[in-house]
Amino acid sequence: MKLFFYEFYKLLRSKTVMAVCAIMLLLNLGLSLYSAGRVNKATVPKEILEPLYTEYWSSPEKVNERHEEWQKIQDEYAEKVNDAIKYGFDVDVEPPPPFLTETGIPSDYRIWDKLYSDVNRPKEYDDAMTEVINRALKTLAAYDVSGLSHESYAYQYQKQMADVYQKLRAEAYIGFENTRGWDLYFTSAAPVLFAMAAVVLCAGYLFVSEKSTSFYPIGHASAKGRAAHGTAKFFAGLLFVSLMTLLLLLVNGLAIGGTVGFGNIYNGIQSYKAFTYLPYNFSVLQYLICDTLIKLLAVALLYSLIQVASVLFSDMILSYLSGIAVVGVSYGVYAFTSHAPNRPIHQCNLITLGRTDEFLSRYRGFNLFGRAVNTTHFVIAVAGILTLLAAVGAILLFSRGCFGIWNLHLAEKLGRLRTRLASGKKRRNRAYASSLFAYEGYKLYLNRATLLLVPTLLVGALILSDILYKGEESYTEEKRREYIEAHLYGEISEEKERFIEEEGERIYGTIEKHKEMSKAYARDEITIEEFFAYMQEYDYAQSRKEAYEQLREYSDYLNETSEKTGVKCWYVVESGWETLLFSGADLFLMIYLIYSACRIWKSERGAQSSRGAFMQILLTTEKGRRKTARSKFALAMGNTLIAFLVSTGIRVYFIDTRIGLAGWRAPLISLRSFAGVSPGFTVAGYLCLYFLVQLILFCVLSAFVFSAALAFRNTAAVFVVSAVLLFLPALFVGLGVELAKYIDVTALIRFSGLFTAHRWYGILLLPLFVPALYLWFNRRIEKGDLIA
Amino acid sequence: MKLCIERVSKSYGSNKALKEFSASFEPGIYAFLGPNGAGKSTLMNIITDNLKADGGQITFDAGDGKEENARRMGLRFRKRLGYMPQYPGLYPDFTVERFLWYMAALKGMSKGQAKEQIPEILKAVELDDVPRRRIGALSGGMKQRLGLAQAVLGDPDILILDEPTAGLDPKQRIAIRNFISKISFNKIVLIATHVVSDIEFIAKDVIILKKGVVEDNAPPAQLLRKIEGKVWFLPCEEQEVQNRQKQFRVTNIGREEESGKALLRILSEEKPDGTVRTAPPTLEDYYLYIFGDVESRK
Repeated sequence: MKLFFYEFYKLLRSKTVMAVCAIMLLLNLGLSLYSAGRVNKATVPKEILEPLYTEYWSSPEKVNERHEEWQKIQDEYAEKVNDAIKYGFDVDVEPPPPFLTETGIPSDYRIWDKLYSDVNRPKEYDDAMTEVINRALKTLAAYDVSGLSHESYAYQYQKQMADVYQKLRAEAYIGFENTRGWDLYFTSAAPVLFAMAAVVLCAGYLFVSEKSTSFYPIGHASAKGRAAHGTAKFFAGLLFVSLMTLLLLLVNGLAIGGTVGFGNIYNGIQSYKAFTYLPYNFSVLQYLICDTLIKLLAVALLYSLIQVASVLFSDMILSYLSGIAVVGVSYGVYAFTSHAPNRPIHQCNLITLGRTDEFLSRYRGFNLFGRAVNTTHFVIAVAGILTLLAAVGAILLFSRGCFGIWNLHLAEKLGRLRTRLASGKKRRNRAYASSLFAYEGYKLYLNRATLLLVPTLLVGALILSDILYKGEESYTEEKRREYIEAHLYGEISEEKERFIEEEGERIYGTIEKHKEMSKAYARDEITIEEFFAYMQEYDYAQSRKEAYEQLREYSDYLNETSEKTGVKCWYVVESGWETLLFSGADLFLMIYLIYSACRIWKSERGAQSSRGAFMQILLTTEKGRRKTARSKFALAMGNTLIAFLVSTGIRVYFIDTRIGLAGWRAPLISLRSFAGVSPGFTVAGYLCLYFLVQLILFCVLSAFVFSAALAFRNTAAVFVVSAVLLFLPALFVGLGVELAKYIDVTALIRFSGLFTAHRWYGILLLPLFVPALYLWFNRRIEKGDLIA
Repeated sequence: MKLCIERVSKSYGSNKALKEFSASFEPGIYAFLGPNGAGKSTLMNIITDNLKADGGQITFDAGDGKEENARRMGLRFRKRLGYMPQYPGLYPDFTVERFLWYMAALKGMSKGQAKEQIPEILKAVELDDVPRRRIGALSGGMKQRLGLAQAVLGDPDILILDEPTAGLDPKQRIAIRNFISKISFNKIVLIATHVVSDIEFIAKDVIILKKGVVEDNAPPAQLLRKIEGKVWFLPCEEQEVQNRQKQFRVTNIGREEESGKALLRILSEEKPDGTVRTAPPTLEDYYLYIFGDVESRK
């Protein structure tokens, strides 16, 4: 036990491990606040809902009566709009005043919709279950008719599914309440992905540190230096990563709880639509425990596999690459099979296991030697066994002296290969570059830290983009996009106006005729076929009504703006452009820029002269002062440009393929977020300005950190201080501290928010960067005072 | 060609590392001897303009009779300089060969010059068998030799070497000593070292530094003359050794082959009692004569 505590203490004392964990926690907090904030904006505030729910709880009839009254007002309004369109009156019929709130925000429709979706949830759940059960029973009946064996996989699978959902239909508890928060918490992928990233970055440290500190031979020769030492090490690390995972989940929970809030923990998990087909009768609390345990299992599995690799390789880079390979392959398979979530390959996957919500979302089985096996149970069992085997393997390999055996093996193989390649060839004297810039580039990119960090940040950026730019949209949004893409895209025109009017007539006309048609059908004045045909049209109209209203608003905006400015606006899908133009403060890019600007000086400033700093030699050479400083500065700028292009490329690619970026020739005022800007701007023109401003700001940021790393000897401290200065105000803004926005560099980098609001307080930050530019142009660099 | 140091001083807080140091150097090897903290590395750093002196100046005459302030010469002075610090921090991710090419670029050498010189220097410092090895994977001795290689690259007029043989085995130490001796023709070579044997036979002048002040500055032979007749061999019984150590400054304890007695090499102004004989003085004796040793008391 003592050994265990010492090993745990070692981990806590490791600056690298703690720095990685702190970064992961910060990133997780930022992302959780961002996601929760977005959901919160789309959620009806609980202050509005709570009185309504309380009222419904005490007297539902009264609330139902009010709802009917509201529905009547809406029908009358629809009728008036339709008349107006039909008879060519002024289309701007005065809408009815808000019914439930004073301001009309959020709309009455949304409030009623939320209430009745919770009210109707038990029935909705029952219907969904009945549908699944009936389908399974029908399939079983068909199997019986066709004479399929009851022992066959297909029969067993359908039978198990019918049994599971029949039991759930009878037993699942769905209480009436304002359901909120938990669905977002359980579907958040970020905490477990950050936990995995932390494990990939740090897990190798445990065993590899034995080699780097040269303690291994001493420990190995002591009485408890083998199995006991290895076991203590392994479990100390396991406890550490488990605590880290729990902390990440807690941070996510706090962020969601603080913004959206949580529903009752004792309510059935099936109260949330996302868990309709969950094959277990769990309360939210039970599901929370199960979710946490499975996430811990996924992290433990990854941790154990990396431990085996770290013992075999005894090399941080190779351990890290093993972790990257496991997570990368898993994520790749997960992403490529996400269109078919029921496939075993998608389910038997580390990422699916870690995400839990998909893994547990419904009953799934697969064919194992002719038997239908529950996929969930099977994957959990396999993951548990693998974790155990890997744990035993790592400890045994460590205690049996196999530490670094693969590394030696690899080195030997590589050595032989090199000899074979070199044999028979006369070695020629090789000439290298004579440009200082090239050598500075070599120093920056080809070192262990950069080789370790860059792939991590790249994978992180890809995963984050995958999460952020999902392209998931509401039904209304989907229909609105359909209208624009199929009928309206491009410049406004009379023909398009006509289409909008005709579509309005169709929708409102159909809705208005509802009572009339129902009565006609009841009186047998129309046939059932006619009525069904009408109902199909009615469904169409109802489903598009909200989208049409939004489209109408957009159309009015475009016409009005065109008239006012004399510039012909375009119909474009705004969401893609808005996502692109209001983002851009890429966390990974900023971390990389701070790192690289510090790293550029690391070799020279990283050590005291008494411990061997190259700066002493550098300063005595012809080009070691100003020319080297200039090469380094040019590299910092070039590196910023490359990193910016890569980051922007990833962002543009994801947004373009997932959400869409059509209409770059459109005037910028076609996007409502940019209503107040000069009409001369096109989207493409603004895009150039936006990217240029961002690039300049990133260059200034790099220059600032670069100069700080030059002026102060401790590059690690410069890295930490720069990161804190950069991210802390943004974090405070996220937590609601308004004052922090005045010093929020990330808001300045996002640019569009300040541009459209004509708020230029971000400019106040720019003078901070002036000393940075002064510093390196200063003649003192040549004299050596500044560097030495 | 002449390098003059005039009344150069340097303090770190209240600690005076160098007190009005003056010396002038013409082509040849000059050795700086002194214990840790004597001010050798501080002086080297000031000459190479890695450190700013509190007072005094360094002038350089390139042979045209025009003396110029080295600090003001800046680039022109550094073009003539090769420097190997006490702990040369080399980039661990560079290979040996790439590092020397980088140094060639820093020294403003042309590709042709670099291509010609680098293989020769690698051979001279016995690193020609590992040109593609990462510096991080080199042994301490190899790194030390690479540090020397970068200093001599570009054929500098002034070569400043701070502890160039630290961490080398005897064979390498001799090879490096011979190499320095060979390239020192028409160069000012300043070597700071603790290892007296490194410079005993190659130094033109030895400058003894003690607490930032020049204790002595003369050719080795002249220094040795100062302790002629003060170095003795004293045979004694083994049980007497401790007493003798208290009495005299003992520089070595050996064994007489014939009698099997202990044979002490001692430093003493006067002839010690007993059967003693004089010993030929070495520079190490002179070093101990100046700085003493911790165990013996005269």
